[in-house]
Amino acid sequence: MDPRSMPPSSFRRTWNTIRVGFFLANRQMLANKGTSILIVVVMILTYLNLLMVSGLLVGIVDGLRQERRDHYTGDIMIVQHDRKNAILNSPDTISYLKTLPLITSFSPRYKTTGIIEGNYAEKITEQDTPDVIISTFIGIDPTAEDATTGLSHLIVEGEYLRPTDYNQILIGTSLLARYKTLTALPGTIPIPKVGVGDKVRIMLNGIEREMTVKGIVASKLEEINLSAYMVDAQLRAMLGRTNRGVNEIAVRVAPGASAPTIRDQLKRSPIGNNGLILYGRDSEPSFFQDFASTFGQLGTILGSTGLVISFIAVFILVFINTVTHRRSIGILQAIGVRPGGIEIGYVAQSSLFSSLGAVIGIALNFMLIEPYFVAHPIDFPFSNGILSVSITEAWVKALVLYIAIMCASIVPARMIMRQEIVDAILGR
Amino acid sequence: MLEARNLKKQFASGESSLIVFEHLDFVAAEGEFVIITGRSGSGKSTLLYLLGLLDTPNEGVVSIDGFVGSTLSRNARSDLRLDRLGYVFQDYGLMAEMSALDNVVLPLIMRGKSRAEAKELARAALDRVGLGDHAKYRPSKLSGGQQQRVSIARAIAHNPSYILADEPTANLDTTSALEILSMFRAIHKAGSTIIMVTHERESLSMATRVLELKQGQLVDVTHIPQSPLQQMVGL
Repeated sequence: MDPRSMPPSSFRRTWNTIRVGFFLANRQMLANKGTSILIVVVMILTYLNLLMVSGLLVGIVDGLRQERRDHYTGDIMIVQHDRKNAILNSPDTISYLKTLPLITSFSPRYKTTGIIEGNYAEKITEQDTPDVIISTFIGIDPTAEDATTGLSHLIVEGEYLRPTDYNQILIGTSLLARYKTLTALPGTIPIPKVGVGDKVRIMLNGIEREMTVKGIVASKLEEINLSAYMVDAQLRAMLGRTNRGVNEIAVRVAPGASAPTIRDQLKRSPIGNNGLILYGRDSEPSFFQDFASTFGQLGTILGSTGLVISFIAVFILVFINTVTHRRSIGILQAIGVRPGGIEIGYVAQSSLFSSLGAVIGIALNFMLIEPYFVAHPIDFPFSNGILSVSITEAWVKALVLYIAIMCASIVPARMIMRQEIVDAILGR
Repeated sequence: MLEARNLKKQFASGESSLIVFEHLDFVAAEGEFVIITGRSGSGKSTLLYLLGLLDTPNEGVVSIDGFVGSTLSRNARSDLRLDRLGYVFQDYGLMAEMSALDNVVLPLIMRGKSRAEAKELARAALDRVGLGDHAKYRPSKLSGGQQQRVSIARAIAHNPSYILADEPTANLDTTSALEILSMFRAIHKAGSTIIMVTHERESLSMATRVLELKQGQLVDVTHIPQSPLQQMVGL
């Protein structure tokens, strides 16, 4: 054999090293099937932890967003311009919306603030404090509103409004002491002893009316819980809106239709300047985004902690594995396996474990866990919490896990590989 | 040629240090069967590790077929070991998680053989050591003698220039030890250069040269009488 014929750093040597690395990984995994399965399970749990902690926290806000979309704004919301008291040319706007085939329903609303007073018949002296609370009054076409936002499904007691129900009112739970939730407005006291069938007095725009509570509305959304609903014609009359100018219109688009596209079409249409045409987060109060951002950060911190723990776990696992196989590693080097081949053996195993963990985790998440949370949302006081994970986020986190696990396996493998071969063989 | 010049090996522990050997020279020409013998702790195995580029001398150089170990990168040393050397360890040095066949296949894959070709060569090597029917067994299912035969099969499968054996019979019973020794004799007759470290006198007659490591120096003790046991088994 001619010594000079040996090409020590040729591509072929490197390729053989990689082959041996995979051969070693394959044999080690097959020889330790139980351990391999256990590590994959740990990877799956680590990945789901990474995904679900932030997913559930962000899901609290997303659940609230969904509630708002389902029961308040619809897919698109048209609201009055700032400093205007109604959507311009409201009748034309409504007529135009009726012509659009991809809009399945919409609900024009009159909206104002006023006062609700209860138990006024019992207050007979001047010292008696009146039971009053400030409320948002919303005038609706009950049929259109129900078709657009399913408001009738939020009735927890009593009945939903009919279009002819004058002097009847639906009251949100946060306005009534019986149903008082944690988030009643600061400085306001919900009205005690008022329920379905009781009379309340409403005061708005300088007009007083006595109305009967027909139903109680309960939602995770405080905007709804702090509102009182009456038929649109009555509120219009009380507001003196002779031009039928509505304050907002909730619009529902056909299933499968793109709400942002329709929003853009509406903006370019003849009614485009009659009001602000909003979609999704455009119509949200700013605190929604603050919540989402805070919960997202919290989720990232908690998820990162999980990632660090799994990094340490894998590091220890590989370190113990390499230490216990120190002699074998020395012998492999003695018989001519390059250190890189042995490292590849460990890295390939970790790579497979983390990839499998992530892929199975993604499948579990999107095929089992997320559908479960959609069907069974977590009942938070202010939201129906769902699991909110985008597919992009899932892959990014899979990549993060992969990189972390790679680092966790390379470092201990390198540490062992650095020592003299004879020391590894003799355990010195 | 496997050659060592002016070798020095010293072990340090805290402030004390022990010089195992110093100014030591060694040459093994192609086709030789060199046995290095000596008392326990004389440094035989240490010398073999240095000759096999598994350890670094404090002074001196080891060269294999013209390649000087200390001038090579780690990968180049691995490649040199792979191409030129075959190792047989005292306690076999087999991968516990692999079958006998896979243990032999491993260096062949590293040599660039396809999986099928490597298996074929590995089976042939196992047949040569009489373990063709034990190819699928893991080391834990084999006796000490059988494990050592797998180790020999691994060492010879890729047809290296030099086979380095470190006390290959030390852990075996007499019968197995003699089987292993006759195997080495057959391998040598087939043309391999063997450098074996042993303290068992039964193997000495096989060698073309016997060196005793004594007080840090190699002494040629080739011409010594055979033991009665050797004469009995015909070695």
